[in-house]
Amino acid sequence: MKKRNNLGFMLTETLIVSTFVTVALLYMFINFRLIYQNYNRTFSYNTVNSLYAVNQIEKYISDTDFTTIQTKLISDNTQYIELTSCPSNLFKESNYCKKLFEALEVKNVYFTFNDISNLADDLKANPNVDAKVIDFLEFVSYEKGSSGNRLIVFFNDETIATLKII
Amino acid sequence: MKNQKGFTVIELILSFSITTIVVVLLFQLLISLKNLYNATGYKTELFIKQATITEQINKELTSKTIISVDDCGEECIIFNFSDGSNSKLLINREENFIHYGKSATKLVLNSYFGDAKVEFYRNAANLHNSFDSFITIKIPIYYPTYEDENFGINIVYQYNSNDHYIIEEDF
Repeated sequence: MKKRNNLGFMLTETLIVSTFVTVALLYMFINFRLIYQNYNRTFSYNTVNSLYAVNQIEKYISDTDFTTIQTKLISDNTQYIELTSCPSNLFKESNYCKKLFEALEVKNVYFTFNDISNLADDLKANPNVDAKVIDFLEFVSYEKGSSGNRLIVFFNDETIATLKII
Repeated sequence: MKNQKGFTVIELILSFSITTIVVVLLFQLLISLKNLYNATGYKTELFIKQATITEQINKELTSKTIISVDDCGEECIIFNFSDGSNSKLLINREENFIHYGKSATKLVLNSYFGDAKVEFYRNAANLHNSFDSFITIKIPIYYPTYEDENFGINIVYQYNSNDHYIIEEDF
């Protein structure tokens, strides 16, 4: 019988060890990434300052242009309307709206339905929507099939908040 | 006779290299986790202070009507309300305190105030008898480790100047 060469590792041994090491490192990396993602979410979703800011926008819209915006959302048969640029067909005082958004350091304002179950797909179709906004939707609690509207506001400091419009 | 089987130098070098890489990666992960843990602690404390101050001011501003805003010295303003009461907002940089009304909040250790601003905006014409004016109170608070992040307050008080006209001083 031919004697087997015992020098060096066998290919199988090397492959098995490398696989174990790779799997272990991948597992740790994925878990660490999840921890880091959740850490970022904790400090940027629905923070105190952003919630108060959304409340101010809600107060302003409810005071003046709520019916116009709501009618437009329904007539356009869409899931959301972007209010960031304060369009003059939706806001009676477009300049005031712009100044208010500027003071609140707003990046994007979305007016939508309270039930946001179909919103993510529509937002994904718009390349201008930040991925953070889409990710945020997963953490919004809402009643499926519930009526009413909602504001989702993305701020310059990358924080994001939402409030139901009562 | 001594057993000649064992690891070759190449095998040893290879295994040591792999082990070193794995250990270095593990240490980096451990250090990152430790930093993340510390950051969470500091940030939580900073956000709690931010929430406390914002809540104190907003609670009063949303429940009362401001009739005038007075200057009471360097980085100090007084809000006068329609019910006759008033509240002073004061920044004490030396002691790192922010005072509002009867309460005072000390900032987190090592954090510091940025440039505070009080601004007034009034729309030239209020044709629709709705909100047309607002006051912005911005008091940035920074922490050395996160200098690009603002843990301060940004409060906006909106009002309809047809209902009540806020008299403001120059700030």
